[in-house]
Amino acid sequence: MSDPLIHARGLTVRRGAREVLRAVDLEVRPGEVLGILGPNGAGKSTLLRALLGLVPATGELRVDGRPSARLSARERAGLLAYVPQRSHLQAGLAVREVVGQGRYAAGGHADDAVTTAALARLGLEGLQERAFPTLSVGEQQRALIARALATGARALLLDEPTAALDVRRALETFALLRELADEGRAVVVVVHGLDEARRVADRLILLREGAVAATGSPREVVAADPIREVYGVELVEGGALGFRLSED
Amino acid sequence: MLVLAGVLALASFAALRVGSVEAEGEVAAHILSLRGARLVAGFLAGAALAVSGVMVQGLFRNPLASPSILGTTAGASLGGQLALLLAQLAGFGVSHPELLVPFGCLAGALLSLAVLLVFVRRASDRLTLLLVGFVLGSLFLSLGGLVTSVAQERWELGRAVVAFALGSLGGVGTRQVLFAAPLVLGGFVAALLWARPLDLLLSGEAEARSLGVDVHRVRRWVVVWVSLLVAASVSMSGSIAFVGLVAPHALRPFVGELHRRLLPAAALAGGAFVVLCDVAARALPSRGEVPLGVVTGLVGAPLFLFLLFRGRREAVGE
Repeated sequence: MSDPLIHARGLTVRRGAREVLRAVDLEVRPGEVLGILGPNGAGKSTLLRALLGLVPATGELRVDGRPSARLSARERAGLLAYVPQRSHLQAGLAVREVVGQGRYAAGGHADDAVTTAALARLGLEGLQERAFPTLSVGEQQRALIARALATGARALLLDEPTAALDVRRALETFALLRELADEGRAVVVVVHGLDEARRVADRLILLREGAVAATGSPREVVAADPIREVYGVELVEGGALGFRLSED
Repeated sequence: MLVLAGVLALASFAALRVGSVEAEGEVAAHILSLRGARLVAGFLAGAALAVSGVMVQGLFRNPLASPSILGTTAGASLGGQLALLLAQLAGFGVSHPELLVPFGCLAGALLSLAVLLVFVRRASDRLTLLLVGFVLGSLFLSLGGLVTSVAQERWELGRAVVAFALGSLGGVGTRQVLFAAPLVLGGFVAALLWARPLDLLLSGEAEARSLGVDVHRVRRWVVVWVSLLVAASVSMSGSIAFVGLVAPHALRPFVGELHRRLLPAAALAGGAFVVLCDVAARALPSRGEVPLGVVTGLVGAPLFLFLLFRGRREAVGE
């Protein structure tokens, strides 16, 4: 088994006197999709941002075997790529420029081959000259994933990437995450729905009030007892609608 | 860029010709030399303020930010006024203030931006930034008023201090231009070197950091370069407002948001704007010259209000 790309022990985030994330342990290895699951306010996005070094956290956090705190901003960006739920970009930058921002840490630019390849992989060639704020939410999401791919980072950390997507785009995004993991990247994805959590992840972490309530395979975590304990609902097996991408 | 260069050429021609007096020989050459220095000073001051405006708008992700709105110009002006006063008290006189004033302006601009950053770190929303800038600007103007009243005891000193407060290119000479020009040029080159991180900051601090931008380092250096540019500008022209707001906003629809394109265009446009305003200041009917800061304020204030209310309409989705 390969060494973990991200290794956290006792990861804790405080806001004032309150602990919004409490002593979380996790490991993510190349080739693996780790899903972070939990109800609203459980600390899913905070955990993702703590792994990225975007919020101050205590505990042990190592990225590619090195203490995260000792990594420069560029080094960290070369290892971990972030896909936010929504970008705060309101300026009218062209999509190619936005995707090209992913090349900053590597010293590349918006016109290089890596940017072009990332645009092509997300099917954005036809939109590359459009201003980013004029895109639909789903198209913006694809541009942000393309930007993350352009970084060349070995791990992708995504915050609810399918929250604003229709069912087809959501399934395509899950398929892409699986491809990226199969290519050797580590993928950490915050998911909101239980069905999509089971669909996309190799392993799941279920959070409740900032602490790990359950961890393991999707079958172990999305199971009657943990779901009842965390969400206060009963799991009805086979009761939900299922979808898959059409052959054509 | 060609259009901007054309506007600048016309403005320069007007600046050299407006208010012609009948003179020949050495007198005519001397007048032309003074007007040339004034023209270059106006261009450099405007370019520096416009470039500063682009940088602070990028740093704070706030299209309404500019050195005058954030109180930086008032801080630099107060620093310059204090330098004049201290020079007088220390016995240097004010015959060569160009040697001391830029340092006072730089200290004032740095102090003003440092205080602003301390407050903005606690609450970084757009309105708080503008309100803190307004309060700082008011505070520095009040302190400047105090310095002015103290300086009135000596006529020459009082006149120099008042010119600072109102903004004027009337007393600028070749020596001041030669002192300030390297600062403006250095600040402009530095701004271009920071263009890419500023582009990434348009997406917010978290996204910029995740893409490899050392946000603290960018913030620190942008503050230094903006202070240098504002200080260089104020040391020549005194306090002139709104240039850093007008030039970038007028250009964005044509050159876009990328800093590597916006910065050179803003430099040209800001320079041309101040030169034109100075021509207007000299040409407007008045007993003496209308202060340059009055003219830039008359153009800039309505534009600021327009942008403010357009931004509010967009925010509520009208």
